[in-house]
Amino acid sequence: MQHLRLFGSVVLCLGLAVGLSACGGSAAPALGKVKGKVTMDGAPLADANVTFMPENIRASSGTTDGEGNYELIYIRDEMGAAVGPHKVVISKLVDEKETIPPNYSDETELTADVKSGANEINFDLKEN
Amino acid sequence: MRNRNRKQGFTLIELLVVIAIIAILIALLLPAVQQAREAARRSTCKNNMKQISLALHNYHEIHGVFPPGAIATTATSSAYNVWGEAGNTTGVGLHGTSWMLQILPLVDQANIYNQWNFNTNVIGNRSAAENDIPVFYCPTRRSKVRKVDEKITIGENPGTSTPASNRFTKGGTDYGVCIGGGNGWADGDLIHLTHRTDALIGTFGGGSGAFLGVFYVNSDTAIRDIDDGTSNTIMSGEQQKLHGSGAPKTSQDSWAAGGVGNMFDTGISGGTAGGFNNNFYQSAGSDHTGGAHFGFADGSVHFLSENMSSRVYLELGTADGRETTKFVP
Repeated sequence: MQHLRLFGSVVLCLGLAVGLSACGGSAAPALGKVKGKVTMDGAPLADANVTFMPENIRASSGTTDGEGNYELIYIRDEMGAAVGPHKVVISKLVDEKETIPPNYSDETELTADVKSGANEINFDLKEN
Repeated sequence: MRNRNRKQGFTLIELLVVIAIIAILIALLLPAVQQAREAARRSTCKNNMKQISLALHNYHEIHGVFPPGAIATTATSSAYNVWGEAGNTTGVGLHGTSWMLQILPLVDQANIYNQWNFNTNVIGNRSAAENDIPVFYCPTRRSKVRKVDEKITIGENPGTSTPASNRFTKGGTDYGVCIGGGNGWADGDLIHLTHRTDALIGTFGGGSGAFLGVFYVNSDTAIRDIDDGTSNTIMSGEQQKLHGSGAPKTSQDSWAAGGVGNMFDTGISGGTAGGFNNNFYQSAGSDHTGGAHFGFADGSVHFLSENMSSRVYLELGTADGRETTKFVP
């Protein structure tokens, strides 16, 4: 009888611990991981900011490394972008002036479709 | 007769059960207490923002315009120009002051305001500027993010990439005003919101996509200039403070010095929509869970979700963007 009581209290403790830790969580949408490579006329584009802008949801962005590779961050250490169609802006400011042609930056024509799971989306830009 | 063999007190099992029950109760209570403390900090923060919004509106009542976002005597094309002027040890004839200095008498800080010598800059007024003003601090941020070892970033002769020397130990802020949707740092000599045309924007001020907000350097915006509507325009908000080496990984910190320490934009890198709480040094953001407070030009304060549309957020930052923003607080 006493063992049963002890067992019962242990189960209750575990149950509460699981129940409490299940609380919380954010209202983030479904995300798909996105990475890829940005090239300008075939050459890797370094230090450019890649932003994926969906409708009605937070945008994701990432910065390219020396080899032109980027990986999108949704927020803080949460990687990825919202699943669905995106407008893509690639921007690189030098002394606060845009150096990417406007059809990729200010008036972008680039689009991308993010699916759940891992995505690899590459961009090859052409200097006008 | 007492039975000597009869057990007295509690058995081990009973004791364990009691301890277990107490442990469960504490486990239940502790997160609730922490949440209540955080909720209290968040409402203090919201109240601070409301006080700042009211002070800005009172300033508008007195002077007919909102205070300038920052005052600079030098041409400002970079986020750090005003900052550099504020900390320049030459001092005399320079300003580099912020909008927060202008509203001090309206947030019960007239004593500091009266000490201020307007013939010199922030470093020349160090004794007045190096003071902690509670209404400029978010308790959530300062209770966990900002530790004692994190110095305020204003000091003597800061440069674009070099940190200031002999830095302040007090006088930071967690709140800022909105310079618009782009990261342009306009000097305000040539232009006024109502006279603005899109053709001028490109040649004026800093970065591309510099869509002006209610505040900018040497601004003189009045409510009539906010064509997007005061309830659709962000006036103030919480500053995201990033620590690291050099922009875009470091945010500046000072209430007295104008510029990047207490002004933010609602875009990232050249006017791209990127939301807040991002990794851009010049952005808004907070340490509250899930979003940040923003003061709108109508004087209201809303808690916006960090998952909201980045495009809508970008458009809320402009005072005269001519966009049809579908914003429901």
